[in-house]
Amino acid sequence: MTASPNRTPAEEAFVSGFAAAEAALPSAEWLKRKQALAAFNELGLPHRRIEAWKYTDLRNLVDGAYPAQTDATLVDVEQVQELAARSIFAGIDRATAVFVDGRFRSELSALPEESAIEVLSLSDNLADAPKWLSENLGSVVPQADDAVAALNLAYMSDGAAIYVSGKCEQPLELVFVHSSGEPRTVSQRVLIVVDDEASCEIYETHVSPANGRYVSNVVTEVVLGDKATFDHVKTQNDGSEAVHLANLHAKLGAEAKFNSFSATSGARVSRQQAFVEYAGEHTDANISGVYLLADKQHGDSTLVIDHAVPNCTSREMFKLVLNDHARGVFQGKVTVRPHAQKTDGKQMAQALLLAPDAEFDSKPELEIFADDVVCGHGATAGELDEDLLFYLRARGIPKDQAMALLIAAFVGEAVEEVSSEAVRDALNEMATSWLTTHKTGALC
Amino acid sequence: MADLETVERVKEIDVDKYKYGFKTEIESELAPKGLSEDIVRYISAKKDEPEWMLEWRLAAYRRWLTMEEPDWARVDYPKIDFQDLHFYAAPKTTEGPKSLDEVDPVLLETYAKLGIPLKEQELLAGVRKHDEPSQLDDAGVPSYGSGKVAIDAVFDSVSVVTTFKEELAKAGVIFCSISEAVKEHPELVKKYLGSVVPQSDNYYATLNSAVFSDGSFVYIPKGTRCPMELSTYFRINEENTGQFERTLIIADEGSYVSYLEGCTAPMRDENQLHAAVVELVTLDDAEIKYSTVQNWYPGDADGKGGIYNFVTKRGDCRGKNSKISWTQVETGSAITWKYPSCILRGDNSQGEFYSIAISNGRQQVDSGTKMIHLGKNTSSRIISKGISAGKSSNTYRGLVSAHRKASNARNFTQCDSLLIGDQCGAHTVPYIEAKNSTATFEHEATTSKISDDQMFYAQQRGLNEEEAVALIVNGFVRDVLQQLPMEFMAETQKLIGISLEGSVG
Repeated sequence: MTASPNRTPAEEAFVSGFAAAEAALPSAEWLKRKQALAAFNELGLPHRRIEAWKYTDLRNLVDGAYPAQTDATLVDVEQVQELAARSIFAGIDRATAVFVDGRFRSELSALPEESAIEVLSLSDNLADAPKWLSENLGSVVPQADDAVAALNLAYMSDGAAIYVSGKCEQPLELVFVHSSGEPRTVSQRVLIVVDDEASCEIYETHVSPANGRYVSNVVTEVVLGDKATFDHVKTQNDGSEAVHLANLHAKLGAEAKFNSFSATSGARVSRQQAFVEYAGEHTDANISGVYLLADKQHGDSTLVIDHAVPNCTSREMFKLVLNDHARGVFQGKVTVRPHAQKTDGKQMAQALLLAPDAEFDSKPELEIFADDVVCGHGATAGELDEDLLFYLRARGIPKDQAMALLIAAFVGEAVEEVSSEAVRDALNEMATSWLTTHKTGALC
Repeated sequence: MADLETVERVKEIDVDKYKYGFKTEIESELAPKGLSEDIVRYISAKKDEPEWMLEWRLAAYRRWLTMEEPDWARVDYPKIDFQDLHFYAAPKTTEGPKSLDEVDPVLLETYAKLGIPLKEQELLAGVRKHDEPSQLDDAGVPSYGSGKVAIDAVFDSVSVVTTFKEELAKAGVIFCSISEAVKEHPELVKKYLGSVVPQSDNYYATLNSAVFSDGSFVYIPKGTRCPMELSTYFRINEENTGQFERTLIIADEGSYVSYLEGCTAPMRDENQLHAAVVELVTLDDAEIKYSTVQNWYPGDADGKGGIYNFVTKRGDCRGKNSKISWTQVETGSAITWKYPSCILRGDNSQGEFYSIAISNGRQQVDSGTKMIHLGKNTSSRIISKGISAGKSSNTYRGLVSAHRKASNARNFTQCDSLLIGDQCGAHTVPYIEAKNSTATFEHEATTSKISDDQMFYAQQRGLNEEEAVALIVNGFVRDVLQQLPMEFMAETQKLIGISLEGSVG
């Protein structure tokens, strides 16, 4: 390993910190941490010269050393409970698995009692892992060229391994809490294996005290069997100084249904990547999301949808509301491989720019090698429509309220993609409360 | 009667696969192979250029040495050995004939094969647009008839014939080869050359700056509407000759010009490099309409041979209320790498890009546009229609960006791709960057194939499969076809049919 002369402090810390951290991290023979670190050492943090990271330059955005979190922190139970209670899913009957600063906390969790679902802490089960875990962990994530995923594997401290064997009645919420403290990197991993014809609903909540300063690196792998159904709703409300890096990798069996929604309002910098790979025919995938960003927040959503087999559909719908100096990025790549005929792919990314200095960068990409397909994408950027605003105000609705109505309607279109009504209501409520706290100053 | 037509058609398809695939045997003068400072000096000396032009070329050459060939485009080709190319070729008859009679008859024959006999072109007044009255009549300026076409024919690298020059001169329009402009209008060339595409812009543009052979120079004076469409037919002729055209068009305040560029090249086996640079400048209230039909040799069925077309085209709407419109029909070349762009610098300026890109066989197209909004109230429109057939790959790559101060920037983009056959690829890579909230951007892209219903409908009415495809494709590209000047439109419809031959069945 030769150190590159112009490494950033963050990169330096990641590479040099490994030797000390390794001993403290849970290990298993088949877990190739060293190779992952070597890969990261080669790659370094992604930067704007790498096409896929053109708009999100991590070398620049990860602004200092964030040593890896290896051991459990002292937990202020009250604080954690207070943070977990902010979850938008709090009003819904659900099981919970709570992770604090990168460690599973069984005493704070209420694991599901159904027999259809099994939830394990990764750190406790790595050494003596059941077959479904050891065989699937890392099976969907390509490590070769993804520095963030490599870093995750090298430093992964804990996470959830979920095995769904039947139809789950109760949703499960994974809560990732970050307490405030020294700058650090928390790497966690989620593996969800859904058997043939099984189904589950997973919520994911990321919270922290307002000014938490940390890098949260979460890699989620989803393996869906044939005819499996998977609903996923994520809310990311990390601290205003945090960097949130999330990778979602899904491999979908035949006739499976995959539905993933994310609502992002937290973190100084966030990059969420979703990679969907179709392994069987007649499968539907729906990925949608809402970004509500203000101040100098930077939110990036990058999707790669790989139609490797015929007769599948994909739908993406993203809505970004950008205020102040916020910058929203959307990159969506839909690949239709040769012979993946009858593919139906649609993609839409729309941004609402509420302040003069807000910025939206979009790169919706189609890569098509089969002829009998229907694929399309759309992207728009603009401010609130004056005419619509006028229409509402002419009917006596005050400007603030009129704007809130229009923004809510804009966001609502993406929220519609969520199947559970209770969750949709909770998401709309969250959007409304964001609008009230982030007065759209420039236009009011 | 119908049978006869069919026989004719079949003949055309089989015997005349590439209509323009002949090679003219004419003596020509070649520079030694390879590229070095000496070659740059050689080219400059051959063209009898002033010292400042040579210095400009040398600066570009030195810059080029430090650059690397770009590899981001979705095209795949063997590495070009720049030391194995001739960078200059001139037909021997370069003395500047005063009339067509003085031109080498072999040349004239070539033009005749191309379907553009100059003698006929001189009389080509019948191509006027019916809906467009002669604008000059009322203004009290001498009328030239609005349907005329002036041609600056580029045979290999040196302009040999320029028609209509006198008429244009009366209107004050300068239309000549760039080498002539360097000598006769150095102040204009010095001021504008490289001001849109700087010497260091990109690998191929820099190469062009060092060794550019010839091209057209157009200057439209203030308040002048160019009395005729200007046109250049390019041909690449000499074996192993890189051709490096350089075109510079300047529309001064309140002027208008429509410029046509059409290209064909002889069939041959070795790939030919073509790296042109086109610079357009519009000052206040001026407009340039630039249309291209590119039908160079695309290579044979296995992708052997064919032209490498690495072109940098850029327009600068420098003045307020100015407009630049690009229309391109790309059917030829083995590899196309081309992004006609607009820098919308002046307030209220407009940019347009209309494109038809057809790829068949093993052609590779990576083309699109950039609309860079810098001024206030600027607007742009992109309509791109890509058709891929055979084993070809067709990529639209575009950028639309609005800078912080470009308030009320407006863009509409539509890119549609049509796939014919299951072995081709169609890709769309748009970049959309809105850096201020008053920008309104809309982007839409679709990819699909010709529907069975449409085919059935057309065939049921007696069209054969190929005719039906040609008809439907012509409908698919209609929005762009309509932007073409009249004389290109009819030709292009036919070209689309020829380009798609062998793509079905």
